[in-house]
Amino acid sequence: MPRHITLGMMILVLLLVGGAVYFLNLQRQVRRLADLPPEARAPSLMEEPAFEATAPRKKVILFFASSQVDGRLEAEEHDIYASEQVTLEAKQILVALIKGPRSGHVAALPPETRLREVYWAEGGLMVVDITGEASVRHPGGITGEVSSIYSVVNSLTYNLPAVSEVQILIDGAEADTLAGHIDLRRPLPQDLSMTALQNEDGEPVISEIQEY
Amino acid sequence: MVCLLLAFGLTSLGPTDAAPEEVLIFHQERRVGLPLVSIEGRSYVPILDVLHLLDLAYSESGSAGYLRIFAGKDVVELTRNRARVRLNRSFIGLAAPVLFHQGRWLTPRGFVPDVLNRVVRPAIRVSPSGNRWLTGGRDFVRINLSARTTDEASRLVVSLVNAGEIRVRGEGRRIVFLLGASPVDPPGAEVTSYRDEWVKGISFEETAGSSRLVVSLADESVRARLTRLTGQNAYLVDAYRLTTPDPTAAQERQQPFRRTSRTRVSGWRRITIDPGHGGADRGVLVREGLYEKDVTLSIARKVRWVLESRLGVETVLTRDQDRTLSLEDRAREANRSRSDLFLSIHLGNGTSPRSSGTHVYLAKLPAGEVRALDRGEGAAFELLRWDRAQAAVLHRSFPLAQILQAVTNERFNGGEPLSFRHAPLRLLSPLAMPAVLLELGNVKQDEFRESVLTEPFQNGVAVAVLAALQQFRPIDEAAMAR
Repeated sequence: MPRHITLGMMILVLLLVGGAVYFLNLQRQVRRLADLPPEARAPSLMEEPAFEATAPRKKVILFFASSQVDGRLEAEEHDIYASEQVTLEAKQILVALIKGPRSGHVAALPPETRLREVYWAEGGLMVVDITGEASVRHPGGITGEVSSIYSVVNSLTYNLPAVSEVQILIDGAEADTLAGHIDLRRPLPQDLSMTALQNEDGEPVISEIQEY
Repeated sequence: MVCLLLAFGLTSLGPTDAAPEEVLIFHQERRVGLPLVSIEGRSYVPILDVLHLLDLAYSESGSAGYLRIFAGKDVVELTRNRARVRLNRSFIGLAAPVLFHQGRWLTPRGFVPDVLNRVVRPAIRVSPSGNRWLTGGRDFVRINLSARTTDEASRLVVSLVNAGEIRVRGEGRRIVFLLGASPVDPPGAEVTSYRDEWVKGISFEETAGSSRLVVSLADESVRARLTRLTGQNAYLVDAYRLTTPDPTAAQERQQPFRRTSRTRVSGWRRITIDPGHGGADRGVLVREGLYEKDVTLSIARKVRWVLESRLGVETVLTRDQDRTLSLEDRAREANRSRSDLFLSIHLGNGTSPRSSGTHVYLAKLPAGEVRALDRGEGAAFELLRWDRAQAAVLHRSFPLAQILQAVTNERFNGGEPLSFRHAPLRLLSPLAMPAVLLELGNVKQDEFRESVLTEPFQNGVAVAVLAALQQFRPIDEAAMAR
């Protein structure tokens, strides 16, 4: 075989092998790009809304679980910034509820819970969207679940006259129950029957809210 | 028990043999009766009346023997005494020739569905019976009925297709489904002649502006309950007879929680016991390696054993092994088994070791849905969503919770007068029988944690349940109403 033909054949084979390697490599890269997991999107967690330090404040009553009597909610006075927007006040109330009580009561929601968003509809319905930790990290038990739910429902309905019912969403979706027992598919109205109307010293804690 | 299953769908009815004298046309908000012309035993449609009603353009000449109908770009041409018409460039055959009779153009009835509907948009809907036409792309309301009769009661299932929101009300011994002005394909004789021991008849009434379906109850002693099925326009009509008072009624009057003197006392038939949690749903952690689901199953088996041996009652366990079971499935199982009572067993998880107490829980339903159906002189029936079935029997769950809490206070709460609790429990609201949930103790207490698997504790629970059930008596009437 003449030398130039052998040389030509060798170059052809080299080109073929190189092309095959390049093609396979390209294929692998494309596949990797196509299979890339979707970018994990962090939920838009709501922080406490920002207010000017000089903004007017108002007193609210928050409800926490009692450390003494199972199933009882204890009232505790807190300060929030007053706002004309009912959702801004609601967010402050919910963030404070998750942060927990100042006194010896027990936070009714697991501390890992985050508030995602709050919506308010004209008819008096408030929709509270919280993260799944509220369910997953819930210690369980019916009494605890009732306390968790009504600490939210009562704290909102008691302080915000524009809110008559509260629907709780978990991770943006309607949930059957919070921790396996209590029906969350429908909005819940206020239930103060489980609330202690007096503090440990026997003084009435639920009284008219004063604005200043 | 004799079970008779009758089911007929009205939609399957074919055209009747006797030629109808007129077609009822529902056009926009009007209903127009169109008399048909009968020639040699065959009925014909005066087609120009239809064209006028639908506002379709046409040109015709009786003497030349043609009729052209214009719908948009389409042209339909009919020729006198021909059994075929031309649609644009093609031909369509008819069952009989087109006639020009006494100055009127007459087409066989098939002309409208077979030819005109190819050019009219939206198409005219022809009812299955053939004598109702509906324009505007709407659908007929269809009434489907099935009935199931036992020797105690009858259940009619009335389902309304395309009916939208309708109203149902009781008028004396009649249950009236108000169908409004919607065009209805009327039910046939097979349905309107339905009757049984409790239902005198079903009639369909049509007036100028509206129509209604009426279920008439047989006599004064028959009561009916109406249940609406969620997500469907379907209603259950349960008709049953109140039992006549018998000698035991006087004795029953001594019972603190007797509801009505017309009921009679009888033994338990079936009780559903629900061990809380199970499978992947482990419930609260009692101690290393021991979860609530294991304890509740163990206690439920003990309760079953005691109730079966001491009360001679049939029991149903929603789960008899460690398996995942949804709350709906538990409720479904209990409703399907037609139990007289439902008891769910859970463990408490207090906020601190100091808190204690065993509590009985009762369903809490939205205000307005709780109605005592078997009391009072009000309407003969009530509307109920399926997942609100508990509303109908809550007045019977109430004394059960009261009794069980009293027994529990005595045996587990050291005589402390705790009261039972209401909570919007997902499990209890769909249950159609007296239903309570027993939440035992507090797993945060060492003493309780150690005792939950012991024989004395579990026997104690079973005996407490037995003691409560011996005081609470099932009432037959409610069982029949289901």
